[in-house]
Amino acid sequence: MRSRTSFFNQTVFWDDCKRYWPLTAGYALLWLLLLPLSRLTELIHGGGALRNPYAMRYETLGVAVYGGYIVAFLFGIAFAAATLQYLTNPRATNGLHALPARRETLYATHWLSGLCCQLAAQLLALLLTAATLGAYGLFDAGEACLMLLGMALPTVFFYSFGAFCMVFTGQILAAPVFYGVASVLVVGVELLLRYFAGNFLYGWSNSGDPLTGVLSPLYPLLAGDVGVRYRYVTAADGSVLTSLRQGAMIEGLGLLFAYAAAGLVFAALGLLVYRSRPSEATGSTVAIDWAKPVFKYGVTFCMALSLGQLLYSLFLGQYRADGDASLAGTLVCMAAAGLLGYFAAEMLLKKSFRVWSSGWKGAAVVTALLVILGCAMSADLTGYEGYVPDPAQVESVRVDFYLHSSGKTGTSAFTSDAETIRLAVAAHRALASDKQRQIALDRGADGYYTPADSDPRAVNGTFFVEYRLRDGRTVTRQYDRVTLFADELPDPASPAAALNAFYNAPSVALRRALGFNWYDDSENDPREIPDLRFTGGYVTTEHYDGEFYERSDQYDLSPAEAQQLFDAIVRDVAAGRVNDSIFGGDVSMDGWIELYASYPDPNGRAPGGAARPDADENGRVSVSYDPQLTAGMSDTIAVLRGMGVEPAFPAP
Amino acid sequence: MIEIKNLVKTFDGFRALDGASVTVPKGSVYGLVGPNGAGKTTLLRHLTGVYRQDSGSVLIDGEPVWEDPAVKARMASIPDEWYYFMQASVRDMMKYYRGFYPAFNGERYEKLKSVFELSETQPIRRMSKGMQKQAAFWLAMCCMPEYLILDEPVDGLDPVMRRQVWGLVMQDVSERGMTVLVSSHNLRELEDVCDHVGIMNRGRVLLERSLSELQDNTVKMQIVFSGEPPRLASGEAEGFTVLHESAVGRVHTIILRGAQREIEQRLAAYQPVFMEAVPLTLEEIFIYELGGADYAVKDIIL
Repeated sequence: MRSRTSFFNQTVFWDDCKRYWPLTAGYALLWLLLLPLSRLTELIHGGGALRNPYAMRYETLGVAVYGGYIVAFLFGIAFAAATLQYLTNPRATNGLHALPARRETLYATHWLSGLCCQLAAQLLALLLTAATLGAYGLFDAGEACLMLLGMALPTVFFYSFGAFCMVFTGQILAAPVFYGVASVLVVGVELLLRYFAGNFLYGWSNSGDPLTGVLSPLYPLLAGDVGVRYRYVTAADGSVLTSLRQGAMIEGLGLLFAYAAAGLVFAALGLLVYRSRPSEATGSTVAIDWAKPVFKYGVTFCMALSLGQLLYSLFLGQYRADGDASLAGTLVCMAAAGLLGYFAAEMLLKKSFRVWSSGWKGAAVVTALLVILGCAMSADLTGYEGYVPDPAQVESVRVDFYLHSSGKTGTSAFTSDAETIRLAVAAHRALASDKQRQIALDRGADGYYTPADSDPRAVNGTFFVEYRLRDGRTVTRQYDRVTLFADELPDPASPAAALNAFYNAPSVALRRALGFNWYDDSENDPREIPDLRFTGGYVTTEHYDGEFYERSDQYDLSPAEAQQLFDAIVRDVAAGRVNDSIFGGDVSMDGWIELYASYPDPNGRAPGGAARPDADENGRVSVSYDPQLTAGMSDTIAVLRGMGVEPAFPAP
Repeated sequence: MIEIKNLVKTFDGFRALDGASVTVPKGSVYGLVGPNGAGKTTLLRHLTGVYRQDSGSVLIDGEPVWEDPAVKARMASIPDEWYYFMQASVRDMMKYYRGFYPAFNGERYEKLKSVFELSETQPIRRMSKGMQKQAAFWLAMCCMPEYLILDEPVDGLDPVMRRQVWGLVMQDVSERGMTVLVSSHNLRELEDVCDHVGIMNRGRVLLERSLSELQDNTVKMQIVFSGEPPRLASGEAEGFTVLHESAVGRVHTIILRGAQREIEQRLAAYQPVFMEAVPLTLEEIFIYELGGADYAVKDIIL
């Protein structure tokens, strides 16, 4: 009769705890230094901590969360390597597998013992921290629980992931390599693929956060998706909303829970792998038969993408424009690096340097696949380069248009205005159809100099566009080092004319007139912001006497005057009096205008909702405008004169 | 009873076990012999549940060994390279074993202290190879196994300790009916302790019999013929299975397969001047049986 499956063996558990006590002690010591001792030092020597208890609690939670993530990453593999190291030593594997215990029992108990050692050390550090904070009246049970979560959840993930890596390989040195690489692998491959696409596709945009960041566990910490923030609660008192700082909370707590759940999945996968893992695989780089080809071709692919592209960019591609990579050069570099990776992986798997005779067929397949991949990308089989959305499909558009050589800085737009969308699409289409000439111009520029550097009628810029389509898709394109010629303005289909038309679209011109050169989430079209209230501002003018600038006294604007000035700017823009062009146009006033306004926090309208961190105690978010006044803006100039301010403009 | 049937195991394309079958009767001491690389250790690792077979079966009292702690708890093994934890002493390992083997006998552990005379607290890694082997025996015998699996068990032990260890093992065999499967190259020693023998080569068990059957079935004759000796090995004298034939002067030494009495009667037909059956050692059986399986001692002139 077969015995019942048990997932726990007391002897193994306590033996692990006793045998690896130095590791646990070091881990506990690190946490004691990070938390209770550092808090005590802060409280004894930093009086400010007591005056600002929220800051103290915020900082303490920050240590637990940020420290917890990093410590979990570093020690996850260390504990896994300690408790499961017998899987990398044939003698140990054979010895322990001969004992009367099932594989499940051994794996689950070793996994549990490592986890318990870490959690016990964390609990000790937490209790001492609570005692330290409690002695100064700063203890908060809720935040202590958050600290425990911030420390324990990443621990569950990283340790379980480390255990999976240990089961996956039979070499103690390979485990941390797998662990470290896998922690950034997916996002790394995505970024490399993006770079690869950018080499061949004209208009390729690398904008936006990686889509696969969450699949690379180190990325959320680096990207700030996991962290600490102050906790605000919006309270409603009649019609007045008030945001109150209530302490600190974990940013990305849900993500941490998701990672912990993924950790448990990895632990379970580790168990499945362990069960099927043959004892004789100990000592092999990859212990699972089905994973060997995955490893081999994965290494090949990653090497081709990383080292191959590095070689290409170092030796062949430095002076090439985006979308103009040498297909042959890229393929040669990628095939060389890919083959290097292929044979290196084959050597690791076969534990022999003599792999040519057995591996040449696979190498030939790899080379062919890389050639096909490169050719497919180069041929733009997906029609990426030529795709321009129909303006009717576009819900909103965001454009960043940088000018590098005309004395102008450029402009930006984020709007759902149909006319602006139409002009943005037209500009995009003009650039997409000008591919061959733009690449030729860029190729002739030799990497540094463009025609705009020597031709006063030409400008050079970067055009980025992001469409949000009505079907929910997002389309982005970016054209770097675009060269535009003033001579072509009369031709409405030319890139120069299309981009200039977009540049002067009313909503775009208004943003520029209000001083928004670049896109920012808070800088929405002020006309569309509900309950925007001007709170004041100032005007400072300068007069140039031919030798020196003479600055006038600052004129402070009342809320009503600020509103009046804003309205005048809107009227001037609507009437087309800004008179601007990417090739020149009216110059801006000498001096500064600053308008201050505020509007209700859009996140905090519902009582109890999470308010924006920059909202004030009345639940309003501040915004400032920096209008750029040109000589043609007659309404605005008249308003300023009405206030007794005489603007001055430099000579054209 | 240990039953291994048609066991097949392949490592990276190499067939280490190629249909090996072994039957070890309960209460017997079974010696598994074979040349280096024959598959003895691989077979024992299947028996101890370390390796999983590609095909075939490994049974103890009719129960598969693989992943059955109840079966494995009735078995103790001393592999060729016994494993102990890096920092562990004999006492530490005793506690570890005690947690796995329900029948672990602490009283016997205390009694055996005087036999092995090892420091209980000294790290095992600091002990000599022979002392480590003693420690392994000490703990294995305290597990009170019904089945004891030994791979080169006395390698490294001095002659006194060898005798001591075999004495302990044989005591358990006689008193508790323990079954022993031992793999060794020391055929002289196996001859003293084993009652059954299996000979392995190239992943297969070529033959397995009780030692007496084996010795009864192979005969070593020393014979002097009166005239021209018959060419028994060449097949001229039909009906003889000659494993080996050599001559020094007129004295011929012939090893033949078959019953001694029958062979003597048939050889008498050649009217030899002198004929005597000489006892055959296990080593000779091993060498001459494997000689027929293309594993012969080669005459090398350097």
